[in-house]
Amino acid sequence: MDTFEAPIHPFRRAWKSRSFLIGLCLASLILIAGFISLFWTPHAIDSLNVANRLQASSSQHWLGTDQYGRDILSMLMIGARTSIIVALIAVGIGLLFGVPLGLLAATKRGLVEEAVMRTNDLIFAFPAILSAILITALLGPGAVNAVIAIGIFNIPVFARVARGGALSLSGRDFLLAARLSGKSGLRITLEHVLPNIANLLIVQATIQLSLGILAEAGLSYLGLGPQPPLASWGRMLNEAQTMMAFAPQLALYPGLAIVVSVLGFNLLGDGLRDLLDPRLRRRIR
Amino acid sequence: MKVQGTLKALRSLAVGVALVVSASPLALSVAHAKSALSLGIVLEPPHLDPTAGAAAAIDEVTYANVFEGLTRIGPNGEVLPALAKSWEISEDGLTYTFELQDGVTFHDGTPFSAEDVKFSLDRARAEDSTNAQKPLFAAISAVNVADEDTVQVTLSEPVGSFLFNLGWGDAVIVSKESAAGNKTNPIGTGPFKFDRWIKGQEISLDRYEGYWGTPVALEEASFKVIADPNAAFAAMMSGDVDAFPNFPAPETLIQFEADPRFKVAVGSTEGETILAMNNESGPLSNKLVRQAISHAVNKQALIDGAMFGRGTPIGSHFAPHHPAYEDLTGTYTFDPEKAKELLKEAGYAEGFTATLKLPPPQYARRGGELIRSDLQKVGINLEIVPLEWAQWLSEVFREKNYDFTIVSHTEPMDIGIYARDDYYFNYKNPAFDDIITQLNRETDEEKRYALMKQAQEMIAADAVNVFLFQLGKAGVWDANLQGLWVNSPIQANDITGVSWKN
Repeated sequence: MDTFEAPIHPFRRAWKSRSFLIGLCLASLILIAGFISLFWTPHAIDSLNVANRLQASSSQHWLGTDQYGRDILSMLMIGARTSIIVALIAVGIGLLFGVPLGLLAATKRGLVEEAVMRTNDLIFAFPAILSAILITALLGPGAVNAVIAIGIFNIPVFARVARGGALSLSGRDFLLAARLSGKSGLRITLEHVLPNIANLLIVQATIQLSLGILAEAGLSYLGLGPQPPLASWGRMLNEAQTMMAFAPQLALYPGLAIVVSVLGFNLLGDGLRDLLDPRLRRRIR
Repeated sequence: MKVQGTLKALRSLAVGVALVVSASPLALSVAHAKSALSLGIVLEPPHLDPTAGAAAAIDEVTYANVFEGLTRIGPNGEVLPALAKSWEISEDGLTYTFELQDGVTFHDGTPFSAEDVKFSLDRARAEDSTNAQKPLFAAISAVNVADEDTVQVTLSEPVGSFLFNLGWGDAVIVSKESAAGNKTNPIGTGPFKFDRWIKGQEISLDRYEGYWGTPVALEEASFKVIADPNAAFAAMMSGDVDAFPNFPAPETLIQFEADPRFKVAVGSTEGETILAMNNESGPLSNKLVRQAISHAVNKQALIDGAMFGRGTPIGSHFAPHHPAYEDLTGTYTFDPEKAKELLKEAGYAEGFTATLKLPPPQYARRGGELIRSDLQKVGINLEIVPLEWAQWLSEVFREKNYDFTIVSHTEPMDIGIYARDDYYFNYKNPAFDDIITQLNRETDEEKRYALMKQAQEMIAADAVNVFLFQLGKAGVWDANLQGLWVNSPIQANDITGVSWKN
């Protein structure tokens, strides 16, 4: 019979997982760049200088300047921060609403479960990016609305994961023991179920983070994301498109940044799943 | 025998069908190349009645194509006869007698007569008229039908530019029977009749076979709405649109110029592009503040950065190619220090916060980022609010709910808008209103020019708006197309003279 226990020494095994390591490096790169931009960027980006525009890479501007004379490296760093903040809050919304809903469905069953899960299915039926476009079109463009839009489609994802995880635990000895000791349903959920599905949620959160970054880039590409002067990779790409003929680097850098971050968080999520999934863990042992 | 006969018949039928099927796309594409035109426009019209809206996009679809007036404006700004084949002006300049064209019918089959002219002009100048350019008709005191083909228009005072005014899209002749429905189903006398409008995508026109004048070469035309510069570039390159008379991405023109499939035509427009300021909104009601802002905006950088050099600096609301143009570009040189001083003098040493509402065109969206940065340097923080076109028209233009906006005024000779009550700038200066009243009465050209110069100087001195640049017109079209306008003397995409070579 399976026993659920806290993972032992996951970090020792981590060094052997290639996807985890690559993912960790790429994701850290983006996270660190975004974090540094809170305090410092090579140049200020809210002060435009047209005379300085479209410069090639130099010691002054490592990645050159854009059509308004802004330093591209600084733009990318702030773009990283924008993406991560939007995606993080959106994941937070998903966790905050999705997990309780999923747990509620798993514990109450019956009509409550039907109501929660069918509503989930309804939201799920729309492609995520499409519903995000719909929501920002309704609420208007802007960073806050982008967060709400991406957050809403995170809710059913986490609800499903939480419900699935909780259901797989039902009937376990330690849950029965907890119930016999007289704990309420809420306490059992909080003290025993939640810690045991945390692994699943962390993995899912990492993957949703990469999807969130992609969605933010998509929305701002369409002009529905954060507005200037805030830098955003998607808008950088959009603005660069008509200048591809004479300044392809303007599209190349934000494109690469999006690829690196999505790849990074995806690999990280995959790596984490390999490490934290109990069934796989036994096989590795 | 019989079976074989049937088989043979079937076989020949099959061959026939195959031939028809394989030939038809070819036939279609040939027909397309010869007589259909697909033309890109940046903004979608709010409706299609030029007599009831200020949006240039209405005229850019309907002018000369669907609707005609008594006179019309030609490709170089000249006044040409249209529904009036000739006219006589009385000596005192107060009575205009128009001789109308024969055999003209509206697209719904109703015959056109002098009654329609009277109806249209009376409707436009009526008290409750929704015409966006009512001042054009202000001097008309009476419209009389002399006979079926003759109309007499009496003015209360001479108007120097009356024949030009009648050539505006706002002065087109509509029929009493269909006027009410023109917003969605425009019925005019032009060589093209309205076919259908797929909202957000395209408006298609068909050739009107009953047209009174020279038949047009094109059988059908569709106006495709493409606001996004990336999409405009892709649509042009892929041949999805044949022409883009006002191409929205100036930075890509080099590529079209280098490509033999396309012709790039650079011309002039009547588009004074301004940073409009709500003269009644908080700090902006103070002239010193507006002057400070005029000094703070780097106009040349705006032309270079937002338009890639395609624009001419202006210093007032007047087109540089007009003979009465006065160069006032030196009034507010780019001088952030001076701007700060003026702000301090006005009591805004710490600056202030305001919104900048931007319509979709690129000059506005790109210009907005540059202006935000310029004004930040003198302490004014702008929040950028991007708006859709319909939103802009209602929120900014009609409701005047804005601080700053960027827009291009593409009507010809439109300095008179600064004298209008209730216009969205909220500029009120009786001295200026006087100049415009005098200008409208004056018929002597030299005196008119002197008044125009005074008007230009006054709004520049008052810094009503920041006068940014005259919008350049860069049209891109298929090298095999001929007959499109190079300049935009009036808001129009006149395709009546357009045809495909060979």
